[in-house]
Parts: sequence; structure tokens; C-alpha cells
Amino acid sequence: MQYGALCRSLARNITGSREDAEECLNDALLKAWETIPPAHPESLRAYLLRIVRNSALNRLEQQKAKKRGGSEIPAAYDELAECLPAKDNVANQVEQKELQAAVRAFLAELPQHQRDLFVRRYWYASSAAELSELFGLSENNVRVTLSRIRKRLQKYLQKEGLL
Amino acid sequence: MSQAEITALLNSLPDEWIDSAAAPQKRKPISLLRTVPAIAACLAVLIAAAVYPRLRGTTPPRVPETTAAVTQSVTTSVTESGQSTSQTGQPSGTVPTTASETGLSDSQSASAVFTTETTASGSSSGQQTAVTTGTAVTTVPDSASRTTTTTTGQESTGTEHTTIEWDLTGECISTEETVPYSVPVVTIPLRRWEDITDEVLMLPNTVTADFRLFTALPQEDDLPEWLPPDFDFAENDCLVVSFESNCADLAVTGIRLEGDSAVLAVSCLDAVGYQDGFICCYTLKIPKSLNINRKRFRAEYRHMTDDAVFRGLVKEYLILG
Repeated sequence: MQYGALCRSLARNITGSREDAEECLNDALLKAWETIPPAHPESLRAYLLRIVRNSALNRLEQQKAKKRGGSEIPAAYDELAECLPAKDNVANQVEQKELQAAVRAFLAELPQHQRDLFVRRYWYASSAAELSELFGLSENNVRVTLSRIRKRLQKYLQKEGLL
Repeated sequence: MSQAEITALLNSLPDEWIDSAAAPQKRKPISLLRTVPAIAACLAVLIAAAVYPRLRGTTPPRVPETTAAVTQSVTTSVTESGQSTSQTGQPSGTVPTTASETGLSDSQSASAVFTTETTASGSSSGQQTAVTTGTAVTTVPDSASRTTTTTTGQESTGTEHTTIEWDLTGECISTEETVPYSVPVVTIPLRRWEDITDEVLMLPNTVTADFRLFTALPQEDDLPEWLPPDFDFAENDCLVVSFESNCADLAVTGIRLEGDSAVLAVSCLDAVGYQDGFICCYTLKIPKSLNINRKRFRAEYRHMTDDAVFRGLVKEYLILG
């Protein structure tokens, strides 16, 4: 499979378990088989990764119920939650859509390597060590860069009146 | 914000960003970023160090020399028997001794021309077109203040004795090949050794010159110190050319025959800062077969303003022995 390693890595980052990642990958492949067609994704890689990610997140919920750890998702989400509005502030679906649009607009203005770093950390749930190897940066540099991006996101959302 | 909301937020990111993040561009190591410019700078320095000395050592291109064309002509009678008379003609005008007297600066070209006929009473031996090998001896008497010699172009002090040879063998050497200029600017009378006098001729630019032709070994009293003692008068005539000048940079750079005339090429560097008391002597060995004593003799006297061109000319036309 062409994107097997990438999908497996994503699933393992989220679930924190090699076995769970393999199962997520199998589930994703089955789901892709069922949905293509009628779906015609422009990017097969992104489409497969989304399926893997959703599958892994579902499996993570099951893990939580079983009290199993090792996932990067909680840490990544905690980091991101610091710069996003609290639950109570998101009053309705409309505000949620506005927030998504604002985050996308913010990320669109970032330099590509910073946006890649952001997506890789919070969407792929990659660890700092993995990002360090992928981007050729030191782990400390990765953390500092992500921290600065989050602060800028926070300021941006404040400026937009969403925070 | 709940995990579900964050997940929904992240799921709203476009596919292209997810694709792009799947294979991010790895940044080049910082050491490489610093090393490459450093290596490039070192290479540039090395190349510059290798090329710059060569550039400095390159001789400047020769450019056409602008001469101060000052022409003087003096008539001399030469008798068949070798007895010469004193000058019978005088310059038809006042000879400017320096460029400043003509109202021109060094960089300007003086154009005052003095011309009279030059005649010789001796019979001519006919047309001579072949020029033969000659040897010149340059003796520079002691001049403590002298700093430059004419022949080597090198700075030196004290007495210097230089043997100069140039190869003028060949048939019918053209004017252009023999001398790189063709306009005679000074005509100097020929004197025979039998009629040695102390009279000297003032040449432009404060140069005095004395030309003597020796057809046989002179008496001991008359033997110039710069005449080679082993000179073979059975085969050759000896033409001694001496200059007394403020100009140290003066050289005989060639001789050629034009019909019944023998033309000596003299070059003088028209430099600033002349020094007094410089004497430059050339002894030219001329085969008797050329009958040089029966020819009207003159010199092309060229004032040069460019030191590099002068040095190049001397270097090209005089072979140092």
C-alpha cells in the first residue's frame, strides 16, 4: 500500500498502540473500499488519512473507556485548547463555523513550513521527536516554534473577537 | 473546548494542507548553511590571490606614441679622402631645447620643424638595401645621481657596461620592420674620426650628441675609452655614437639603409625629472662592404612620453649580451 506507512504512523500517534493502529488501518481501508465510489476524492492520500484519523479517534475513545494510554492526542489537544475559546463560549453551530474559518484563515497566512509543522502536530498528532526528524529541527526548536504559533493564533482569535 | 470540537476544527482543514504536511520539506542543516558560504568565500579569495598577481604582472599594451616632432637638419661635407670639414650649414631656425620653450606641455605634441638639405661631397656607392649584423657597446660613465639605464629598464647606480647586439641581417628589411616609425625628426651630421673636434651638436630636449665613424684604429690619443680594443677594422667600420644629455633614458634602437643614406634610430624618453651629466655611448660595428662612410648619415630622433612604450621598444630592439 502506497500510503500504508503514513496511515499507520498517524493511527499509532493517535491510539498510541501498534496493534490498534493496524486495526485502524484495516478499518480505514475497508471504509475506503466501501465509499469509493461513489466518493471521488481529489487527494487519495488526504482522503485515506482522514478515514484513518477518524477511525483512530473512535478507537481512542474506546481506549479511554478501558483506561489505556500512550496516545499523543490528549497532549496535542490540550496544547491547542489553550489558545481556543472555552467550551461555554462556543454557543452554537454558527460560532463553531466562524472559529473554523478563522483558524483556517490564520493558518493560510503562515509560512508553509510553519503550517506544515502545525498540521503535523495537531492533525497528525506527531510527537516532538518525530517532528524534529521530519523537519530537521531540534526538539526544542519544534516546541518553541509551535508555542509561538499558538500564541499568534490566540492573538489572532482575540483580534477577531472569537476569544 | 471539547476534544470533539477540536477534532471537528482540525477536520475542517483543507486536503492540500494535509497533503503538504504528509511530506514536509526538511530544512537544510544549519551547519551546511554556514559552511557553503564560507567555502565559497575561501575559493573566491584563493582565485583572487592566484589571478591578481598575474594581472599586476601584465605589461601594459603598447599604444601609438605621440612624439614631439622637432626636426633639425645640418649639412656636412665629407671628403673622399676621409677628411671632413666643419659644418657648412646651420639650422634654419632656432632649435627649441625643451618642450616648454615651444609653449607646449609635456603631454602635447610639439611640431616645430627645421629642415635644410644634407649633402655629402663623397661619391655614393649606390643603393644599399641590405642591412647587416651590428654590435653596439653602451658605456655609461659613472653618474652617482643616475638612477635609470636606457638598455635594461632597470634601476641601477654607478658604472655600468653593457654589450648590446641586434640582428639586422636579412635582405631588404623594410622600414617598418626595422624601425617602428618612419618620420625622421632630427638629422645629425656625420663626422669622420680624422676630424674629431670637441664640437657637439645641441639636439632638442637638451641632448647633445657626437657621432664618430672610425674606419681604422685611431691613434692612442684619440682612442675613445669606449671603443672596443679588439675591434676588427679590417672587416668593419666603427660608428661611435655618444649622447650627453639630461635624459638618462636614451637608446639607439636600430639602424637601416635607405638608398644612399644610413638612418640611425634613436629613442629618448621624454620624461620629467632629467638629471645632468648622463652620457650614453653606442659603438656600432658596420661592415665595410656597406661603405657607410660614403653615405649621408642621419638619425631619427624620437621623443617618447610613455615610459612603458620606451622600455618595450628598447627591450624589443636591443638584445642584451
